[in-house]
Amino acid sequence: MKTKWWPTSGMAVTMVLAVVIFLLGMLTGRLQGVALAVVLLLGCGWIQLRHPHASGTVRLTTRSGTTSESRVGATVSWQPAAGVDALRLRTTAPGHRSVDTVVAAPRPSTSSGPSTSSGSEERRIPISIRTARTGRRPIFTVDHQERYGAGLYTSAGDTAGPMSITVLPKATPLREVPLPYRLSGLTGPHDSRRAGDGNDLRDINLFTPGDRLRRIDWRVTARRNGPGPGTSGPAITDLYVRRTHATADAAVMLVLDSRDEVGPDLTTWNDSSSIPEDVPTSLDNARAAALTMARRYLQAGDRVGLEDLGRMHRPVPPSGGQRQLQRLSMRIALAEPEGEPRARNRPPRMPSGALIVVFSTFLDNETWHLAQLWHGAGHRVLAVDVLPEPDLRNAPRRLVTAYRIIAMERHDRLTALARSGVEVIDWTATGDRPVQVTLAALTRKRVRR
Amino acid sequence: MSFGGIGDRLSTGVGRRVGRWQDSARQARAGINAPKPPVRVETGQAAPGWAYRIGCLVLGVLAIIAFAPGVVLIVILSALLALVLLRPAAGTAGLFCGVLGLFWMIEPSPPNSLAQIAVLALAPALWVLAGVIADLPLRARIEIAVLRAPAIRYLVVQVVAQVALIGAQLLHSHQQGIGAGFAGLLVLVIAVIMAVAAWLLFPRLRGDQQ
Repeated sequence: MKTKWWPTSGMAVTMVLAVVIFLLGMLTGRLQGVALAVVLLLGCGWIQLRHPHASGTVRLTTRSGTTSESRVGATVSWQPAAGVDALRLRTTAPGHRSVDTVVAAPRPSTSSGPSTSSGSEERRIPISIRTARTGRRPIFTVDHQERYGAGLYTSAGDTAGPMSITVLPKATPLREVPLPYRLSGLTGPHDSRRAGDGNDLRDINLFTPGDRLRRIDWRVTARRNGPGPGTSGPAITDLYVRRTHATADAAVMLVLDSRDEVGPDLTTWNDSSSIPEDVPTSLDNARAAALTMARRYLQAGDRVGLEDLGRMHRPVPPSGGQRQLQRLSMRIALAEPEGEPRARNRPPRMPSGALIVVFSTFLDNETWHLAQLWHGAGHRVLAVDVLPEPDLRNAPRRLVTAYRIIAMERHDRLTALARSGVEVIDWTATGDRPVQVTLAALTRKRVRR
Repeated sequence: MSFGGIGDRLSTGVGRRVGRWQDSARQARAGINAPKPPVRVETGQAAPGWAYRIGCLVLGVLAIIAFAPGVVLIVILSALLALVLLRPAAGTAGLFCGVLGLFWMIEPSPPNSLAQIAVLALAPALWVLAGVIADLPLRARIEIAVLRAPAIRYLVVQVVAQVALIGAQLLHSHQQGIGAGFAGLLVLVIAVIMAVAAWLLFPRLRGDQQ
């Protein structure tokens, strides 16, 4: 790409002073001054005559995988033009301090690496940030300018980015998770009470049309059939089969409330773009919780679907397998607030008998109302509270007062949910009752409806 | 409008302004207590910009010491050196070299002495280094390898200039007693070096012309 290189004012100042000193030195016979002027003039002349006539290219690309936990990376690829000395970069990322860097141009080589016609190789500069945030966001912006001639020549800079990167949430392992009131299907990882082709013995009964021959229990058949006439052995008149309980799977619907995204700092509640990178927001907690539950249920062989309350899109229907986990991972990572939340005329339809897990901050009545409706329709509903613990240290007094009012209303909603039979889980809880303990307790709880 | 109403509005306005100042102070304190982490950029061996400025300071001080001027010139050159450190650029360093060269003509160093070699080497070195770090903030990370190309140019020009100056001064002193053959050889060497310098300066025509 052709671009203009031009001499700086430093070149002009240096040349003028050098010429003046040269002439004065020649007139007065002062060789030392002349020598100094010659050095400056030779330097300026070399720079002027060998300056680049084109500029290189700078590309910003994502890096697959991360260098370590919670680190998001990209690569700046620079293909320098011939004769360029260095590249100046200013790398910016949200929640991080900008960094100015100057990197040297790679040496021209005859190796088999990527190179231009002048023989210079491509220089790759990895950049990364540490973040606790997830989702698809513009992260890296790189302002770049090639440098030549020790400040005597300059060129126009350019900007690469902002580059959007999708950061997938991390799923933590869970041991026990609750199941819906009613399992469905005739195959799956769980035992059910229906007769079917499972593992647990249900009873031993007479052979009826439709029973499998390999289910015949010959020992019981021989014991229950009496000796035949004129023979010493039993006469087989009735066959007995072992009947087992069927297995079933659970249908789980994850309901992600992506209508709002708030952090611990109350002053950022009206502007999610000012939330720092090292603290997860409510939506990050919701994404991590949803992916954790999805992975746990799918690994057990159940079917999981997803409904995003922040978008008026078709939900992901319940399904199983690794592909469903990948599908859910991307949909969960891409869930984000989309403008002003629109009111729904009717609640989203849920598969019959499904376990519904609602991930929300419960800062308004929408999800509270939906949870109660679903519970009233016969579903087992888990309400997962994903609001992070607020940091009130730097909040103004009026905000603290407003937050206390909101917190009291939220507490009333959660209490009303718990009283109505919806099971409430605090995902950010630590200490005596972390999430794993709460879920294990819910698993063992005998729920009667 | 009653005076009581005006008083209420004044107190409310003052209260709001004080509240805004308190909010700003609170946010500033939060920023100081929890500074933003930097973006990680993986480079080769690098040094911060302030280290290069210290290098400029060292070069400038050594050049002034080698020049050994009077008190007034020390003050003037120190002020120019401070300007270079505050705003490193080829222009400010060129100004320092220009003023130094001017004073050098007024108070020259002994011919072919270490001081002469030092001043001729250090002043342009400061000019090159200041140009390399031009417009860069103190916290900028600059790879050491960035100095390679300017250093090569500097060394080539230094070799030419130092040899040419020594040769010219010997030639000048030949007029006061050195043998003619020796002087002629010197001039020949100077001419060859100048030719090499000219070859380096003008763009070479190659198959893949730059």
